[in-house]
Amino acid sequence: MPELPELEARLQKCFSAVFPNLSADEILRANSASLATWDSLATVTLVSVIEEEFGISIAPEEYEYMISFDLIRQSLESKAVNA
Amino acid sequence: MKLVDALRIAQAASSRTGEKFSVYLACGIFPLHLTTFLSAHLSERLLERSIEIQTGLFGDLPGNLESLKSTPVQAAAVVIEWSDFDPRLGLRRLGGWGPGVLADLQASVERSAAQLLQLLAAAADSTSVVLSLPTLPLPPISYQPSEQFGLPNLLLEKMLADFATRAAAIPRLRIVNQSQLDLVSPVAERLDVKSELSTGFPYRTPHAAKLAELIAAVIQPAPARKGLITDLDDTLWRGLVGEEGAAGVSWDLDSHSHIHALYQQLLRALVDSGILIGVASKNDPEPARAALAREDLLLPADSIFPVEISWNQKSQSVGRILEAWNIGADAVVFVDDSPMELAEVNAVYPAIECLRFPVDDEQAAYELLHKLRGLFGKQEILEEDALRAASLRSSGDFHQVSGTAQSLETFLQQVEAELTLSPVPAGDARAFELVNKTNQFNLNGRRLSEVDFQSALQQPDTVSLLVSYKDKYGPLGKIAVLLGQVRGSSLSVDTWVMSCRAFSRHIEYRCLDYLFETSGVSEIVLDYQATDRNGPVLDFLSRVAESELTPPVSIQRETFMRRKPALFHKVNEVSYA
Repeated sequence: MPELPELEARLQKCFSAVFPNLSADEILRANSASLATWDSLATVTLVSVIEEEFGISIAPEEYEYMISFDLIRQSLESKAVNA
Repeated sequence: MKLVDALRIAQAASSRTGEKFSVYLACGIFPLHLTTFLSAHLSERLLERSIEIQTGLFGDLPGNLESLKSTPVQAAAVVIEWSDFDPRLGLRRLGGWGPGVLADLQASVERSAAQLLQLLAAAADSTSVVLSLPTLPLPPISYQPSEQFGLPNLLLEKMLADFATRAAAIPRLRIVNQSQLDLVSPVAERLDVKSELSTGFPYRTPHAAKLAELIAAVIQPAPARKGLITDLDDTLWRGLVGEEGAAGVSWDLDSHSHIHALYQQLLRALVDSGILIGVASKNDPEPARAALAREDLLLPADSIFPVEISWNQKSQSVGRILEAWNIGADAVVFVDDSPMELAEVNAVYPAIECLRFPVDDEQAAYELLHKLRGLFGKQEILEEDALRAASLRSSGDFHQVSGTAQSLETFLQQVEAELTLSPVPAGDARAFELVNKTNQFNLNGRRLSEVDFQSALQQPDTVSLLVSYKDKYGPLGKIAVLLGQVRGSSLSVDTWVMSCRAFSRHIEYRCLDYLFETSGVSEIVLDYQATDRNGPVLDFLSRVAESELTPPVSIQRETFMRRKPALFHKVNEVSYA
C-alpha cells in the first residue's frame, strides 16, 4: 500500500472519476447522505475503481461502511497499516 | 484501458456536441462497467460523436431484444452468456448441476437458442447487431474428470456452435471473434465470482475492457486499408537478387525461407479480395523483374502494380505508387525488412503504416501476416474488388492516352464510355462502401451508419443515384452514389461521392445533367463542406456554380447547361421500382 499522503491523492483521483462534477474540496467532504449522485451504482463503481487503483479486494460486507471519503480513506489506511 | 480512464473518457464522450451515436447494449447480465468501457472505446473510434449507451432490464435478455425493435439506435451490442440460455448455467440461480438435470439443461438451452435466434433476426431488421457469444466458462456441470472434455459440455458447445452458425447467416449481424478475445483476455481471468454474486456483473474489469474493445471494433471498424507496398529482398523473398540472381532468391522449406512463401500467399489472398499490391525496391531492375517473373512466385506478376525498382529513395517510389493508385497515404501499408527504409518512408509519409518484415524471426513474421490480414479486413468481397487492379491499369492507359490527345473532349469522344444509372437498391453493399470510403470526390466528408444509409434510401422523397461506368479500356464497376431530396423546384443533395478511379471522364457533369433532365428541377443545392481531402469537389463546383462557394452551393439549371462540357457517354437507365 502507498504512503498516506499519496494514498489520499490517489483516492481523490478515484472519486474524481466517479463524481466528475465535484471539486477537490467537495471530494474531501463527500458522503453518500449529502451527495445525490452517490447511489448504490456509484458505490459499486467506486469500489471497482478503488480496487483497480490500489490492487486490493474489498469484501461486499465492507460496502456499507463506504459512505464517505473520510471513512474510505481510514479503511484504506488501516489496510495499509495491516499490510 | 483502466476503469478510471474509461469513466473519464465516457463522461467526456457523453457531453460532446456532435451528432449522437446510440448503441443499445442488450444482455442478461447487469452491464455495469461493460457500459462504461463500451462508451469509452466507441468514443475513441468516433471522435466527433456524442456516445449514448442504452441498456435494458437485468436478467431479461429476450425482453431486451424485444424492446430493441422499437428503440431507434445506430447499432446494438448483444452480449450473451450461458446463463441467458438457462439460468442454471450461471451462479445466481440454483436448480442443480447433477446428472439428473443434464438432459433437461440441454433441452432448455436448445429452446432458448431457437428463441434468441428469432429475436436476433427481428432486431437485425431494425439495426445492425454485434453479437458476443458466451465468454465465461461453463460451471462444473460435467460429472466426468475435469481434464476430460465431458459429453454434457460437448453437447452444449455443439449447440452453441449451431446457434452461432445460424446467427452468422442473419443479415446485418456480425459476431465478435472469440479467438481474438482469447488472445487478449485469458479464460481463467474473466469471471469475477464476488462481483457476480454481489451485483450481477460477472466480469473482471480487464475482461470487460477487452470485450468492450472488441465489440466497439466490430460496431465501428477502423477504415480498411486499400493498398500494400512491399519491398523485395528479404521481404517478398529471402536473399539479395542483385547478388544472387533471380534463381538464387528463395521462398521454400528446403532453403529455410518458407515464411516468405507464406507472405506471398497472403499477398495473393489480399489481391483476390481487391487489395492493391505494389513493389518499391532499391535494386537493379533487370534481375528483380526476372525474379518477379519466376513461375513459382505465388503472387502472379500481373497482380502487382506498379512495380517501382530503382536506386532512388524508397519514398520517391512510394510517392509514384500512391499517384498511380490515386489513394491517400492513410489507406496504405508499407512492408520492408529495413528499419532505415521504413523510417525514411515514414518521415515523408507519416500516414502510411510502416511495418517491418522480421526476416530473422519467423514467429514474428507469422504474427505480421495475422496483423496484415486484420488491417485489410473487409465485410465482403464485391464485384468491384476483382476489377480494381485491372481498372487501375486501364486507368493508367486512359490517362496516358488522354494526355496525348488534342483535347480531353476529343479523347472522351473516342473512349466509348457507357454509364448505367439507377436508384440505389436497398442493401447495396458497394454503394454503402463508396459513401464510407470515398475521400476526394466527397461532397462533405459525411459518413453514414448502415442504419442511417438504409433509412435515407427509404424516405419517400429521397432521390438516389447509383452510377456504374465502363469504356473501351475496361469496366470500373459502381463508382458514384448521390442522395438528395426534391423540394419544390429544387433538389437538395446531401451525399455525393465518386471513386477517384473515375475522375477526368466528366461523369460528375453527367450526373447533374441527368438529374436536371429527369427531376425537372431548376436548381440543385449541394450541401458542400470543405474537408482536408475533397479538393476535386471544390474544383468541379467552381466550374459550374455561379454563386460564392459557401455552403450550401446552388447550381442553377441554366448556368449548368451553359457551362457543362460536351458529354459523350452512352447512358443506360435501370429502374429498381
